[in-house]
Amino acid sequence: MEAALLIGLNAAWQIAALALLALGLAIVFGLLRILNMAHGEFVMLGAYAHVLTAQAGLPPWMALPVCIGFVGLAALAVERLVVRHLYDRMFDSLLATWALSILMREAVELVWGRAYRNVPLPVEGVTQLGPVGYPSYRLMVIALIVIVFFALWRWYRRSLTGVRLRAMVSNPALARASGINTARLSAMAFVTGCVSAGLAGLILAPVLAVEPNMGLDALIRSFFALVVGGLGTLEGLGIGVAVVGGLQAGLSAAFSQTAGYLGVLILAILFLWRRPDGLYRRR
Amino acid sequence: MGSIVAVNAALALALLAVPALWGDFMAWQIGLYLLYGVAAQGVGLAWGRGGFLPLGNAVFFGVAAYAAAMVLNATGGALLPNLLAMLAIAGVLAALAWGLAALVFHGRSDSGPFFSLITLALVLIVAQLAETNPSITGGFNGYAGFAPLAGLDPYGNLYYAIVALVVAVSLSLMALDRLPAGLVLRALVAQEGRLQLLGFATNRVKAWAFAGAAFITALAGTLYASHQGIVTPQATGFVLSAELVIWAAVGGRLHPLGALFGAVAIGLLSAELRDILPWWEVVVAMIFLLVVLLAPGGAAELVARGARALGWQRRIPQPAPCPAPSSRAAGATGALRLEDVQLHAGAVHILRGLDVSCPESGILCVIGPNGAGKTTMLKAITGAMRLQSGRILLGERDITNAPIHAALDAGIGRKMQIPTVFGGLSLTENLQLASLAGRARAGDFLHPATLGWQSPALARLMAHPAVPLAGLSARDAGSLPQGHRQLLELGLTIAAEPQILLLDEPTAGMSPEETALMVELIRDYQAQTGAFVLVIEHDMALVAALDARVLVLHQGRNLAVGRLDEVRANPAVAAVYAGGEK
Amino acid sequence: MTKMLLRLEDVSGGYGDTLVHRGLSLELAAGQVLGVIGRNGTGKTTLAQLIGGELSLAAGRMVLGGRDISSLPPWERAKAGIAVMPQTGMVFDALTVAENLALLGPVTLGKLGERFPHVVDRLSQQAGSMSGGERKILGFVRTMLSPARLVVLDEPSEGVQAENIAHMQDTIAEARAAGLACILLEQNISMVEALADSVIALDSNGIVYKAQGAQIDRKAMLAAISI
Repeated sequence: MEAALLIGLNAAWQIAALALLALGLAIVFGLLRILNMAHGEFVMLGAYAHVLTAQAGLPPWMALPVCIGFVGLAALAVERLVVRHLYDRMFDSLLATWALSILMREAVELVWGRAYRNVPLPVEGVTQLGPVGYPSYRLMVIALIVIVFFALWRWYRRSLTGVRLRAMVSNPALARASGINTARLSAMAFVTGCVSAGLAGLILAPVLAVEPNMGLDALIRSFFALVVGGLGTLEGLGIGVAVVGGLQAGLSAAFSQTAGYLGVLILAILFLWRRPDGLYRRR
Repeated sequence: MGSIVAVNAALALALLAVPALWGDFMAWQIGLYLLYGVAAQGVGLAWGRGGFLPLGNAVFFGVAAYAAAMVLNATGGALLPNLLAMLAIAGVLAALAWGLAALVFHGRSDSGPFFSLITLALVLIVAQLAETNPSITGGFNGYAGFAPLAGLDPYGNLYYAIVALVVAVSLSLMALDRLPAGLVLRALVAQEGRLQLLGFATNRVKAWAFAGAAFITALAGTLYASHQGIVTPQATGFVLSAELVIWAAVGGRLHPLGALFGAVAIGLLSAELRDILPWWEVVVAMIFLLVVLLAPGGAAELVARGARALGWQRRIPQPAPCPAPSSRAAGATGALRLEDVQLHAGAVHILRGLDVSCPESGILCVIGPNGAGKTTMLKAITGAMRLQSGRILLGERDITNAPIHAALDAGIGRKMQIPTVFGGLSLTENLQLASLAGRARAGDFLHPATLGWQSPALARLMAHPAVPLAGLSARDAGSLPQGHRQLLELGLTIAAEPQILLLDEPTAGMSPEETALMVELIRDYQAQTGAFVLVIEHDMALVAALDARVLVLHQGRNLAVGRLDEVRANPAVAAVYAGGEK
Repeated sequence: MTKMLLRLEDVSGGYGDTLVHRGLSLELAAGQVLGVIGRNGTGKTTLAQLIGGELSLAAGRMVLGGRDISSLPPWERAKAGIAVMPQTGMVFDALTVAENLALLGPVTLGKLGERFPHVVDRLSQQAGSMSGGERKILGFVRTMLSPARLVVLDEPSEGVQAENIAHMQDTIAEARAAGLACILLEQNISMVEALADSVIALDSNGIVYKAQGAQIDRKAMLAAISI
């Protein structure tokens, strides 16, 4: 009983963390079809917002506005200088953002060095759930993800911006003819996706190894979740992170971390081979 | 072949002079960059000739290095067993690469970006495996303590083995470009859809390109073990993988030697500057980004452009023309028949029980309003879209939902609505490729004489005095005007002499003179080969000029068939066109 | 002489280097309907895309209400008062009927709701799951509800039942009386005959027939588009 609860909590934690990481890529790749190879580097920049805040002598809670400003400005610059010219050209966007990701890793390494950074947990302690004690911070993050996903789902369905976004994805030409400035909307969506990646980095920094190359792992796992779940919907994202996060958590617990990774890779290859549109297809 | 030998002889001489000019340590250092360069040439092959970008190619480099080191350890470095083992290691990795690419590109031809990420994940996992299994690989400390190949001193004679590898790989890659197989690879990057219609299973062509890339990269890895005397997880890491891509991009992925020079140049510069300038790596990343955005062909392309500006023209010797063997597409027999074909795309029902019986020979024009399903019918016949139900028969053969690349061998050629020619390839290369379509067998792709094949139908079209393609043999086919591209695509389609020729608006964008010529060419081809030709057309004057039977499609069904005056008199057809009752 | 709302001056355009229109000129006043007929493949849809800005002009000039709109992006043209109903993709398939309408801002269906009751009945249905004719009607309703001075309708009657075509005609006639200009690109001669103040017929060689008011002749139009 205790063991089962713990395994369940760990799986929930893995899935929640993956959902947080994958959300930004789901926006940028799932909706805009920009295969943003620098997705993980925006996660990394978000994590370094803690370091930046500390260096500036600001209180720790200031990391949130610092993260949004810092990552948002970087994303805006990337959109203006690089991505803007690459909508509808997936291969070119992959290559250019890959180049960008290398540049971002090298730049961060130059500024902050290669060493691992420790970010203290903002909330220490363990919450007792019946017989099992689980880190409070993790439980808070799980709760946060559930709330954010629900809110996002409602927003995407109900708000006018959500409708405009879905209209643009569904039929870009008609969206333009209906007076929607698709160039600006795409740019906004791109920046939002990158900031979301940055916030994931900010939130997960205390439990991740913060270093310049940390983004690769975030990119790969987010991408696999999208391949398995299918592009373009929150439902697909939810299914994808559940399958990929759950499988990885299970295999890691049963065998080793590498086995978890390998299992996810094989799953993704099988999906690309037999079911390239993923589990959840948009109707 | 003369120029290839000359280039490689010069390369060999220059490299052989290194130890004498700059000493053994420099030779050792350059030897390392040369090995990296060969690995990057592998990336260049996959990227420049296969059209997809492996972001994790160091996996082949590192795994081969570990395997070679273990064999060296077991055999004490004896020459012959290790040479054989090196080839075997590279061969096994190439076979695995072939399988992976064939699998991933099977589902859809546009999985290139997905493939890149798969390879990136692969390299991360393998590096993790290498780190977490110290009993096999030595873990972080690396695998060491083995003898170098044939006892060659890494700071001495091993350098010459590396030079031999460099020259062998460079020679092979340059020779490949002159072979039919190389032409097919370049065509793959230029226009995958047309290549499928010429009968090539492009997922397998990509698999060959990736296998070649893996083989070359792995060979470099096997020598790397002897060169370094130690193999660490970094040899199969993503950092090296990324560097391989940078070198190939900056040097130029489209030239066989671009990646090699890119690796040596950046490697040497980095060795000099890395310690002096702390921001050097940022500069390299910046250069890479700028190359990607502004000069996608890399340095090799800039050099080639400069050479062209100076009036240097690369003259490629053409093999002697010879008659091509008979085409598999020409031997196909039987009439085309569609039986109760149903086809949906998403929620839209396009073909709704389409029944068409075509004659075995002759011309049939297909007309009908937009959305009638004309182009979709061609896609269904060639396997580009899958039917939900119904059958498509060729004589007695059921070809329902056969893959696109099987269409040509079944005797079906299709010309697209918007002409697809191989842009970036010269007109001559377009014609060479068309002449081997449906005719070449596996061995022919490695035989230069195949490029001299002359398809009779294509030769006849080119010899027509009004066809304005003569004298343009060196022109980039992508830069030809629309009318010329339409004629060239017709040539590409009929070269294999398909018995079923499907033409989708063959005169779109053509002047009246060009249209008249097109009509003449279509009728001539039909008369010469006795083929069945199906033409989708809007222009009624052209339909009249073809003097053929007419099939009217409407809302995914067969509305009327008959001579043009008959369907004109048909009240149902008149209603559709005048917009009366529907 | 009424003041012209839209003027195309020597317009050329098409897809990439394939020009569909070469040196096309036409003009249209407020409260007028211009019928454009022609078989498919003669450039009706291209013309709609050129006016809406989805395709850019290779040459020539386009003026709306005295303002040169030749280089405006589509959304700016929409704001300037042009509403285009494309021939295909005239609705957002992934959105519900209500969301398709909500994009226009706060609108009331009014008479349109009475004429096309199924639009009201199915507000929560996804547009992509409707039949071809129903999607045409929704696209038409959307276009007619948008705050425009000029609507461009690309084959609105295709696949629509006769009764609903009549409702479409009534809607256009009323809007015209209220000063709306309309370009009606159709193969349906009867609809053009019923509405158009002037007509042009397109062929692969450009405008092959032109007529105004009482001169519009059914026979001549049929000759211009029949096979």
